[in-house]
Amino acid sequence: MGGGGSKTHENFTVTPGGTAPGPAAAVGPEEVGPSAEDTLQQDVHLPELPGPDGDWAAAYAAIVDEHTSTGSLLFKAIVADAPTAELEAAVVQLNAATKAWLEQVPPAELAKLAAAAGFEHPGLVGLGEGSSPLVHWLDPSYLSNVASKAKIQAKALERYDALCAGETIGGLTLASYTATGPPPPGGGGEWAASPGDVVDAQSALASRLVELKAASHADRAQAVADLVAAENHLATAACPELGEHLATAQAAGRNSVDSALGSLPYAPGAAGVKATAAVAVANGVADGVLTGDQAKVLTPAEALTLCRLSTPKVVREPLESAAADRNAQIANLDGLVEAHTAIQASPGTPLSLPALSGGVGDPGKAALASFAGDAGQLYPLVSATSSWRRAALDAGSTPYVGSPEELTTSFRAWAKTQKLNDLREAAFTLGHPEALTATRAQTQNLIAASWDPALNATAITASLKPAKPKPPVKPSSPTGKPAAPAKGVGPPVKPAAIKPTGPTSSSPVPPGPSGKTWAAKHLQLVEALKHHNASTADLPSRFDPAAVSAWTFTPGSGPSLGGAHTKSFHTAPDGSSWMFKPDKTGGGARAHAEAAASDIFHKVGVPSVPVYARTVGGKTGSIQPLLAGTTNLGSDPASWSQADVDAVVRYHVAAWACGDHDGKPDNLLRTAGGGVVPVDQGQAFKFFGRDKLSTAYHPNSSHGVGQAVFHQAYKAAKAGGLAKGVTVRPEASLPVLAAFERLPDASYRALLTPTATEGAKHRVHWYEPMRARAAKTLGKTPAAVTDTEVADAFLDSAIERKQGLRGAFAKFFAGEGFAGAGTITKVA
Amino acid sequence: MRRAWALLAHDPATGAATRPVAVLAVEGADSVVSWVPLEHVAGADWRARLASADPAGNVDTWVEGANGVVWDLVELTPPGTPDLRGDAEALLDDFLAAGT
Repeated sequence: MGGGGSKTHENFTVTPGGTAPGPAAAVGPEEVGPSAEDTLQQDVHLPELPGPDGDWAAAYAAIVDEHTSTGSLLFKAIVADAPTAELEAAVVQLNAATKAWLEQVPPAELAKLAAAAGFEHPGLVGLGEGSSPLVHWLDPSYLSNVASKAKIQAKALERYDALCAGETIGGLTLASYTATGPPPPGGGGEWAASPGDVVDAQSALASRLVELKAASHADRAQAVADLVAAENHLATAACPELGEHLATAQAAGRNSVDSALGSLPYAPGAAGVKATAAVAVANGVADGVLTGDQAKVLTPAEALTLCRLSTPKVVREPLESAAADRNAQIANLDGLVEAHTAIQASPGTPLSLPALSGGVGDPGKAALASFAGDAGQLYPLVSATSSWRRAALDAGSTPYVGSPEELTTSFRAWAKTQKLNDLREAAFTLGHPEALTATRAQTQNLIAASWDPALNATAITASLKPAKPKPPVKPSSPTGKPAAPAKGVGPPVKPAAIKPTGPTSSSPVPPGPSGKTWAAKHLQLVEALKHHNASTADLPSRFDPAAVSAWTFTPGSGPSLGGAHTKSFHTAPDGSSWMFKPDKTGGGARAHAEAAASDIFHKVGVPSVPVYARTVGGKTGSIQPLLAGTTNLGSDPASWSQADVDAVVRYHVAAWACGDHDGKPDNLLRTAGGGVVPVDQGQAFKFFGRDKLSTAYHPNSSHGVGQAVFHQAYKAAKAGGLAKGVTVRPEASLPVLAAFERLPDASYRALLTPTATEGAKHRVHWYEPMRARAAKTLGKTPAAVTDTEVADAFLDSAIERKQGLRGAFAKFFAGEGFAGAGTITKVA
Repeated sequence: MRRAWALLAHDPATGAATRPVAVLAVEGADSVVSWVPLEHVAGADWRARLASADPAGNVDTWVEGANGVVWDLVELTPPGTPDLRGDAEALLDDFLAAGT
């Protein structure tokens, strides 16, 4: 061990090889251990790699011991408040050295080590050319219960089931696998079965599989329940006479049911999935296999997995843990929403906070501090729950609480009525002592930074002090001049500091993978993207396209993924992450159309991710900023709130104006604030000249593509498939219709000119119908029409459509039978 | 000719479709999918997409239409194991080894 010294900032070095020390003496809480300074001087020695006849088990045990003792020492250093950056660097070093050591272990020895540690079927992982997953599973740098390790065990079990069912994996069959591997583990059963009983159970399962495949949509729920019951019966049989053959039969049964449930023909929208699982889940709850509280917060697939008694522990436990976490999230969120709506009844309404007053123990300041703290937890929790809540069987929905930016606006309106000194004292209470000298705007922003990710308290505070030495240069030095942030937007959010991943702080940041597989490179890219700031505002700022054209986008910090990737990630001058999509088929015309549609959406008040047409790396395409904290909209209309459906109606107007019929749920995102944002207008104007404003018009149906979200909403509304109390309100379209009418035709035409000229030049999909229109208008043969005339015909069509939007939607909604259609033509 | 793709789902942490949920391998009219275990929520949209359309016949359309933000698929090089299932599983192992 290192000698005592007074240096407090020595690097923590990791040296592979060398003489392996004896296991470090564990230091119990009651013993006096090394000081924080001493721990930073430790060298970590990993054992040498044993030779072919060496004792790999002992060497691995020494590594595990080293991690245990090092982990203890690091924990003590943390407690002693040693510099975090060096500790994290040391953890990364140790992790990298351990991984490098394990990667040199021969595959057969890896399998033995894993089997000795309890891994089932180690011979069924490591089928790829890169590192074996067993390297990660054995790595003591990660806790044994991390999800990434559970996935590896689960996949091995799944592959064994497939072999038992008669499948071949990479040439491996059950016979060839069991000839060389250990016998399958025997399972304890719950009912005593004769060999004949087992055969009967297998037959019954086979029959249920056939029945499920043939079941109509109406009968599917019962067929699923019968299948699960049949599998459970087989899975719980005990028959010593059959020996390992029983385990094989049970594994094969599990594989068959996995396949059957995984390939169910779902009804449109996730509502069909929920109904399909309902009977089986109800039976499972009645039988005590899972609780009602668990079932409510799990997705249908997850709940069915728990209903099946054959589900291995490595899959069951994470689901049970997830259910507990989700129930805790809902309880916490419900409390936060209740407290929040007591102050702000709905987004955009005034805050009913008590006035601040001077003096010690001012309850107004306490109320503000409580409100700010709760709001700081509210939005991230809304975002965290939205990824699963809508897909869960019966978890309800989160009331719409608006965006952090909306709350900031409401807060500023309230704060204007308060004395500056009182606000400063309130900010002080929230942990900002520098606020005592801040301006009103700075003070308000410091308080609002509690919940608004667009505001950076650290940057605001720094601006209140004399200039300090500049921080170290970031790895990717952006070039080019960033555009000024939009008014009201604070300084950009800084990239998150590197933090350990995993369920506890003792799980370190994964090192850069040493493998050269695409998967390893992809993981590096993902980590790089996480550390850059994807926009954390509800919507990114929109910049002048000319400015964006002039920016220098540096390649994202991750490695290039090669030509097989159709998209690439880049860093803008302000450090934000952007995605570039090359326009491979339209010569840039598609990119211009997408950019124009994005701009139109913005101008008429439909939230959209800003898209710009430009050239990157010699390729023409579209580039857009990434939004962090977003989740899928969800494909179940029953999960959409009234605000969602209203947003979808507004989106429909803009989409029709732009001839975009590709608005599927998976082309929309839900922002951290709960807003709905289209993210892909790549098909804008594609079907211009042929398209129809009709729920029956679905030009992409032949490619297995789902219907546009607005059509799904209208159909669900008519079939009673929307949530209780949610309706299609045609009047929700009024603001967008009015915005289109306020847009001068000349401006609209100018905005679409690049789309028109590029589209005509590259003979895109709308070229022929527009050429026919031009020929008719000009009295020419189509062959005689010039590209300029085709472009003009496109622009004329776009203007006509814009001018006719109100009438078209009034007729459309009336035709669909929605109440309120008449208001469209009566109200401005 | 055998081909393979990583199927990616939206990751709130990156704001893009960077979360691997499965590997799809196709050869002629045959297709095999190997799913990343325990990704029930993230993989749900891809499961629905694959259940509603023949993967072998639609994968190129999906490549063209994927928005890269909510969903995406990236072509990989099949390792050439004796069967299609082996290629899918081998490529999935690369993700598991990387700690996905």
